[in-house]
Formats: sequence, structure tokens, C-alpha cells
Amino acid sequence: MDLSLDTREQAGCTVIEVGGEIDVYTAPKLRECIVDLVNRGNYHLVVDMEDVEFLDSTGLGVLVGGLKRVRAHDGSLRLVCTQERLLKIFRITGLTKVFAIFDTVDTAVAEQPA
Amino acid sequence: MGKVELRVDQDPAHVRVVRLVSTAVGRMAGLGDEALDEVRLGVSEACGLAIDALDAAGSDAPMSLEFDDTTGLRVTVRTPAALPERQQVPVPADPATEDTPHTAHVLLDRLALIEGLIDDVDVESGPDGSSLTMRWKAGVGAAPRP
Repeated sequence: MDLSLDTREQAGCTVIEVGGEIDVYTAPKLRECIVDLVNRGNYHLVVDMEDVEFLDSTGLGVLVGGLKRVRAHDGSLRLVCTQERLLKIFRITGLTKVFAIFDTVDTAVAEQPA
Repeated sequence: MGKVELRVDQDPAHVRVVRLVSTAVGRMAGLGDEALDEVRLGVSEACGLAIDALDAAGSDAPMSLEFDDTTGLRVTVRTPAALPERQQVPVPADPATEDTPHTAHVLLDRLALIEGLIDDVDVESGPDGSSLTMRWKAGVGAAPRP
């Protein structure tokens, strides 16, 4: 499955629903999406990864790049992920210390600064 | 089944094809779902490494992969270029985490992820290029029989 990206607003945050595979080929599409959102002034992002079927280090790099971008505007980038095979990758790379990871979009959005 | 060999252009779009082949071969080798996840990610990262290496060397040579399920599964990815150096990346940490209030150093390089994920990995470099070999034992990651 290719990468699918849908964005919506929820309680002052921009939720990016990501589906499919994030790899060396598709990750640039996610990067463009995040860069575009930040350039349009959306600094509080929630990336919903519940429908992601595959994630590699290129995808992790895009998420880290997005985090740096929103932090430059005092924003935030939070993840929604309950899939153990993805969480394992975040643990191995040390990214659980970097990202706040939530079980649901509602709880991620509720943690956002007003 | 024995051996399957692939020669793949250094096009990121082809990495997904390699993943599909890897999954099929791993399933035929008797690996379970957890090990198949490792195969998919390991092969994908190894292909990314090979693409990065060939790109850095300015080479348009293809990479090659060999799958062998004679005993478990062995996957070797070969490239005529040297593999890139590993690096740690400083990243601003989430203020909510207790142990790293400001900056965390994360392992975003592909080889670190491969070695963190897979128990049996060999990397070799020589005048003819580099190879990365990953091995899984048969039955690893499979659900126990009732």
C-alpha cells in the first residue's frame, strides 16, 4: 500500500492521519506535508500513525525534522501509536525520549497547549 | 527452496518490491510474524544503506540481494560502494520526559537500527565493495503450537 495523508483540524491542532508505508520512497511526501503545514502557520501537529503498515528510519528522520521545525515556532509534534512493531523502532532508536506518544488522537489533542 | 537472487536498480521505489519478495521468502522459510517484521525492516534499511552508498560514490550500479532459506533465512545485500559512516543525531527532547530534559541523541542511522533490531548481523567491506548479512533461525517469531 502506498502512503496516504489526510489532515484535519481538531481543538486548535492539526491532525495528520497517515496510512500505508513510510519508507525511503514515500517519506518525502510526509515531509512535504509537514513543511507545508508549518509554512502555513500550523505549529501544533498530531501525527496519527494507527494506520501505518511500515515505518523505516527515513520516516523517523522526517518526524524528527518535523519536530525541529515546529519547536522553532514554540510548537509541538505529538504521535498517536499503539502498534507494538512501530513502538519497538521508537524504543531502539531512543525516540521515545524525544516524542510524546499517545494511545488516541483525543488524548494527544487534550495535551496540547492552549 | 534454496537461494533466490535479485539485482535491483538503486531506485527508492524498488525497495518496496524487495520488501514484498523478502516477506514471501521469509514466510516460506517458516518465520513467524515478529521475525517477518524484522526481515521487512532489516532488508528495507539495508537497501537504503546500499542506495546511500552508491549515491555517495556517484555510482549507478545496481545492488544485489541473495536470500537463502537452507537453514532459517539468510539475506545478504551487496553494493560495490563503501557503506556510509554511522552517526548520532542530537534532537530536542520532549520536556515531559524525565531523563533527557533538553537534548537526546538518537540513533537515526540505518545500520544502528538494523543492529538494534536483528541479533545476527555481519557487515563486511573490501576492495570490491560492501555486504551486509542478516540471519534468522527457522521458527523464530512464530506463535507456539497448541
